[in-house]
Parts: sequence; C-alpha cells; structure tokens
Amino acid sequence: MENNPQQTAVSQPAAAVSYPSQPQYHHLLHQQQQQLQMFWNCQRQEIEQVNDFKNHQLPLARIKKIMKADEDVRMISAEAPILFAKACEIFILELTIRSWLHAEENKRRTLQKNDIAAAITRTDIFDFLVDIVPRDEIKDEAVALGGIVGPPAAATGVPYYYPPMGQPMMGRPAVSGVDPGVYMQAPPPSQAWQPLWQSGADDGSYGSGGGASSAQGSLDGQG
Amino acid sequence: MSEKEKDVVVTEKVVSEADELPKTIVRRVVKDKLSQLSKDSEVNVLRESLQGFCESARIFIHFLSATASDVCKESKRQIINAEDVFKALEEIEFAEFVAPLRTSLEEFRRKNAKRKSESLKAKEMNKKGKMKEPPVTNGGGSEEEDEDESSEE
Repeated sequence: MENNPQQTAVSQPAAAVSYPSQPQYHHLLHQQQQQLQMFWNCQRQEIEQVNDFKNHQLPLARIKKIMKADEDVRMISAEAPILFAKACEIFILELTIRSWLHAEENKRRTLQKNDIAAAITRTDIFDFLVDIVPRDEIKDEAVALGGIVGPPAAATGVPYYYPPMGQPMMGRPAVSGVDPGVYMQAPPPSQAWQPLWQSGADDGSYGSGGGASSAQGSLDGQG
Repeated sequence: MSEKEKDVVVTEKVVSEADELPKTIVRRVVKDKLSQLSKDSEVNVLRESLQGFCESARIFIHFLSATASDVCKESKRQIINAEDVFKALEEIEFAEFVAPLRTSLEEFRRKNAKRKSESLKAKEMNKKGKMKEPPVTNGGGSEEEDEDESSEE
C-alpha cells in the first residue's frame, strides 16, 4: 500500500511507525524551528561579544600550568596562553548555550549536570569530553534521540532537538549570516576523525576516575 | 550495599584546586551568558554543574595544547606560537574560534606595542635626565626583551 504523504488521516503502516502523524510532525518541526531560532540568536550574540577582549580574563599562569601538565608541551610563546584564555572562554560560552537549551527544553531554570551531558552528546566536536559525563547521562540522551522513532511523541511531550529523519544535527557554532533554515547539514567527514589527545596520565590529573578514560585508547606513538 | 558502592566508578576528579581554572571566573562567564539567554528569569547553576564546566574547559585546554604541540613539531619548531594554535583549532574542528581569536590577538599586540613604546619613551626621558652626569658603566641602554618571541621552559 503506497504511503501517500498527502494523507490527512492518521494512518501508518501497522508495524513500522517511522514518523509521527502529519499534524504531530508539523508541530514538532515548528517547535524545533523555534528552538533553532533561539539557538542562532544566541550564537549571534555570542559572536558579537567575543571581540570584547577585557572580559573575564582567565589567569594566564594557571592556563600555562594546565598546558604544561602535558609532557609533550614544552615551550610556549608568550602569546599562546592569551589565545588559550580566550579560546577557553568562548568554549565555555558554547557549552553554556547548549546546556541551557537542554534545560529550557525540560522547562527547568537550573542547569544540571545532565544538561551539560546533553550538550556534549549532541555536539560532535565535544566528543573529546565524553569521558567526563557519567554513562547514565549519555544513555538517557541517546534514548531521547532515538525516541522519536519509537513511542508516539505524545507519550513524552518533550520536544526533540533533532529532526525526525533520525539524522543528528551537527552542532556547528554559528557563522554570522547563516540562515537558520539551512541549519541541517549532512554529517561531516569528522565522523571518522579520532581525537589526538590521549588521557594517558596515570596520576589522574585529567583522566576521568576509574577506567573510564580507556575510551580514548592507549597513547599514540606521536613523533 | 557497601560492596556495590565500592564497585561504582568514581567520576570525581583527583585534581587539586590549583590545577583547575578558578571557579569564580568560570562561574561569572556562565552566569553572564545565562542572564543574557534568559532575560526575564534567573537560571541557576548547581555546584556540580559548575564543576562540569571547569572540567570541560580544562580538558579543552589539554586537547588544544596537545594538538598545537603536534602542529608545532610537524613544522620542526620548538616553540608553540599563535599560528600553531590557530591551525590546531582547525584540526579539532573549532575553526569558528579562529576569527574572534585573531581579533583578540591583534588587540593584544596593539596594546602591547603601545605599552612598549610608552615604556621606551619613559626610558628616553630618563636618559636625557642623566646625560648631565658622567656616563655610568651600564650605559643605561639595556633593551627591553621582545616579548613576542620570548620562550619559556
């Protein structure tokens, strides 16, 4: 039987429920677009504000110390810690925005650890942080992502951040001028990319506790 | 029950405060942003969430510096410079950071150059003042170190 997308009746093939019904679908899409709009507005704000050099200067000495914790990092030019301080600040802003979005979706006014977990899980380029987050948080988020394909949307009432197509959105930070309508992208080649940084230190200085850091693999033989 | 608790993987980091980013500053960054995002109502940040931000930022630094170090080595140099950092950012897919960072860097270099020239002027004035006296062995002409190139161990 041909699955005519123009059907107004809520009829789906009995076994395989791929998508919610048309009205539900449109509602979700609309919600999602609203979220995207919010998201991109935030990003534009952020882009405008990062040029303010004075704000929130993270202490350079501390940053240098953190950098030096890696034995491979030997000599650093005087300008490098300044770049790191700023990069760090922008990074924290990115993480804040995304965490906040998750809290908003769940109608909360408090940022919880699972909001950060969600931000990390949803954003491919934050994969290097995946060890920080307790496995449960990631699992819950993954269930939420896959949930749109399974139980009817009405059951949870939680707006899903990802398009119903099941294709995860790449959480690319904004480039000003990007039209929210073209936000959806094909998965970039980064899927195959592996992090260079290894949490090989045994002193626990930057591995997650216990054996969770094993996900990063053993130390790569860097030249 | 206590047996089970022993098996639980502890995700608390064993990092001393001195090796982390200062919580107060991180908190300020987060809260300022949240107040922008949620203008009408305040968004709170749990202490453990703040810890999450600090940890994430710290690991970001490790990640970026390791990558920058590799970039530097590939160019057969010893000192990690600004361009290494920019290239590293692109390698770890944070290319969007590059533009604002370049702006910040220009700003910093301008300020630095200004500060240096002002300091040089001050030294010149001092020199003129001292010309009336017989010249001191030191010569008073020790050049200020070029900070842009200074390297550290």
